[in-house]
Amino acid sequence: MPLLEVVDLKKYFPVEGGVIDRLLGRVKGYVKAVDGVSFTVDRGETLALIGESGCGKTTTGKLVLRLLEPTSGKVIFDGVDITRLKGEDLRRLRRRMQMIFQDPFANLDPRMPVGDQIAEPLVEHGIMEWEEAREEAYKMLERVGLTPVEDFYDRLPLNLSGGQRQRVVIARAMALKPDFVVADEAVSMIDVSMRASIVKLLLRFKEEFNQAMIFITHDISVGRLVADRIAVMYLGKIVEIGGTEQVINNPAHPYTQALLAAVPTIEEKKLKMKLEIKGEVADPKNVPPGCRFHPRCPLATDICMKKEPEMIEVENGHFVACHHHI
Amino acid sequence: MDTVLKVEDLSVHYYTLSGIVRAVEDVSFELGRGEWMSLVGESGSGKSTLGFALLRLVPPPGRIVSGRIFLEGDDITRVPESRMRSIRGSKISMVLQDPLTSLDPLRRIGDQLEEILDVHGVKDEDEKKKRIREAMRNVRLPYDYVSYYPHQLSGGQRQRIAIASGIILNPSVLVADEPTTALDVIVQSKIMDLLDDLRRNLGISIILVTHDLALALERSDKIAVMYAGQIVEESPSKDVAKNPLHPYTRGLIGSIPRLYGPKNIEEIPGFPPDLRNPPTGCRFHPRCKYAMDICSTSEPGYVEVEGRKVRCWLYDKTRGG
Amino acid sequence: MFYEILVKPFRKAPARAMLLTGLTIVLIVVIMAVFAPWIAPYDPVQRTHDRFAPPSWKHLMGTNKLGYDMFSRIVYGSRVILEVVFIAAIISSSIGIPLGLISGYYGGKADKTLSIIMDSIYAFPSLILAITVAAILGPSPVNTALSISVVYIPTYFRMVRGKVIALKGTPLIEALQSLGLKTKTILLKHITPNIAPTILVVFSLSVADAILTEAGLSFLGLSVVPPTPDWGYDLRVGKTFLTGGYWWLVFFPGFMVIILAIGFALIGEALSERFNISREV
Repeated sequence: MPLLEVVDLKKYFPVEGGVIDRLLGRVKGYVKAVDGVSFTVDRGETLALIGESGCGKTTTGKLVLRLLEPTSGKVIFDGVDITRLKGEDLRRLRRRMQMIFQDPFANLDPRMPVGDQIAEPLVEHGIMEWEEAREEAYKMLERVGLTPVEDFYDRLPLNLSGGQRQRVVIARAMALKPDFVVADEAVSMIDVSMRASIVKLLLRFKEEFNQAMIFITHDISVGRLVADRIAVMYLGKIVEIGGTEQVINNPAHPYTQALLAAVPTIEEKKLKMKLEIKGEVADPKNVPPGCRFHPRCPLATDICMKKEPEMIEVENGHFVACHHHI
Repeated sequence: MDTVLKVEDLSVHYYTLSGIVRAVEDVSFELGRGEWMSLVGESGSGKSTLGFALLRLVPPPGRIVSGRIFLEGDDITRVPESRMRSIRGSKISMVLQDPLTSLDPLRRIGDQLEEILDVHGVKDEDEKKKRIREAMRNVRLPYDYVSYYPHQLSGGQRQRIAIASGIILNPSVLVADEPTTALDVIVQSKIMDLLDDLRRNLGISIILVTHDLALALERSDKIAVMYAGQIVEESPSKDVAKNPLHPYTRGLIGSIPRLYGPKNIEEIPGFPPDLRNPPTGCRFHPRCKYAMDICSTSEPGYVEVEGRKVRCWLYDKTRGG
Repeated sequence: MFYEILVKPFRKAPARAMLLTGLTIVLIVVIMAVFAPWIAPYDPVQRTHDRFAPPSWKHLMGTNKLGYDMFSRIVYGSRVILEVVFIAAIISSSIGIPLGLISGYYGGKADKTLSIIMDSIYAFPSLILAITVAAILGPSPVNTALSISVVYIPTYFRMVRGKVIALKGTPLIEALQSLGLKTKTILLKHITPNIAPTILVVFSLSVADAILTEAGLSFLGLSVVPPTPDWGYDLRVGKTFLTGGYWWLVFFPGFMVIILAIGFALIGEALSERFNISREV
């Protein structure tokens, strides 16, 4: 049984209209941020969610952690449906599922010593008392390489570099020994020379606690470093999902192909064809009919404008939603 | 290839309350006509400061403290500010990460392009129209877009407009400071294609300021790697990927994730230094795995190695003398 | 090097000078209040033989119609005004701040209702509102404090609620929620310290304002019972004799009210400027 199962998950954000609309309680329309996403993640497995800004990857991450309430669909965690969980039950569950955020400065309290910020969740979840939690925080700081710890424990986030802050964020989340972690662009704001160490740190904890992980990134080459499987999202949907090497070596969706062609690298690209992608991502308030990629797709035909493609298996465990898959 | 821009021993310091930040120190390089050079470095390496300094636009409390910048033979560090204003835009111009900072949200694109022409003394209406049409064609946008407001355009289109306003006066150098960092990869690759066209078709020299070494290697003729305010290596791109000279460049190459190759990347241990108080000797030595005794005591010279330049004791043969 | 020396005073001086001036003023008045019996040369409610005496070495601020020594009355009067204003500030902040925190954090219908109530109180001219409440409660220092506190509850509420709503949208609060912290912890240990500077600023500024309101109330005879020494009351009595040329009866109480209000306002301004600067850097 997978640790996490997501079934046809949707999140529509209402678009606020003018004053009159609001007074009458009318909604102008919806931003379909996530529009029918299904996948599973096993214990010890990492799934990379890849896509451009506005594709719904971050919203998906927040939905499965229940930081947002889904419009419809199901989130099943360790066999329990947590889609509508609320209040204290949800809070207790948070111990088992953690998030690493993109901007390590914005999610640390600027006025609390970083050591205490690591200790606090341990106390709040009733795992230990403050004194013991402080010792644990001390150990965690050591484990994420912020040594000598005495130098770091009482510092405020302002006095740390970006990479150091991200280590604190990781220590804070991992101190709870979660079963499931969502890392949202965890290295995209970190300087390249320090990226590797952050990635390795995440992987080390993942191994140790046998965690399931969702690694959200816009950079498919970073996704490859950590992921067992890759899911490519476009405008609220998964358009391709499969084993990491399957997707990268044998991209079946024109969009995946385009992403691979565009990502800067120092290697010779092994692509079957060079596709000219038109324009930019459509407005999620106005999702195109049929296949939502068709206005940009060089392979699009009539059927793409009319019929939304279904997921089909192109090789073992490798699925694509495209009428003209490559 | 004739030299368009020549920078000699340029230093830029910020005079802050907590000390002097030596953001750029003793930087020298040359840029040929139609050449594309990338300034690559991490945050705080001084790459953006250098970019701004080339237009003499270092924000206070920063100041160019020494060095010279020859733009088409004229030393622009010596010209009065009034002259500099007419040089900016007409001979050297800049594109920033967020085009919204340079575009006025309340005015039509066409009016904003026209203003640039007005400021630089292009008065003839037909001439103005011709230039705007040309600029729009050069950035591959339909001419109709001149009647749009910035918010009606997508991020990539706005960046094209920013580039159009940068090239409308036919400058010889375009400095692009992280122009695609806020954009998606597919759009990024198209903006890069556009910059490439500009230099091929119009002969504009490009200076791309970026943190992304892979992007720089893929696109530019040569790379200048910056670390802690200095250029530590300047090499043709094709050489850097195969044979990086400076240990820092090697580290950066090793930190680029591969699509097909080995699935591991290496970090460079330690953290960049505080530029108020840079390390003695070579600024990279505390993080360098090749560090020798001399590295912590004296600063290496900027020496030439097979047509490339590097600032490292592994190559500076004056040591021991 | 010279740059630093040149820039430093300009960057830091205004805020610091404001703060120091404000603190000095407030401190002087507080010392006056605490050590009133030792500072005041006369009993403030004891008639002396001089009536309407102009300021002199014997009576620094002159005397009034009944021969009370004005300087002594000013010194003792600082007790009343500080007491009333501080009680008011404590009451209004201890109601306004928690309500603002909870209302802003939870949102929803209760928040909407509460906001409408607070906004309607806020929309009233403060003096008229205080007069109304004071008239209902009757004159006494405690009642004055109560009526003033009613005026400033919405000030704290609105400011705190606004800050909480702004913070709620930040990744920080989302991160704390995702860690599974209890709401109480998030509110008290994370949100409150982060809005503390704002609270401090609002506190100083509303105290400055409350001083004027208190003076206004007692000027209208709604605060203390005569002949208790009180600046606003003395101002009112002095006003009737102004045409007689007895300027000191009006000048000194009025001056004190204004200078004390300015003192708190300066502290508030200085703090707000300082915290803005630190946020930028």
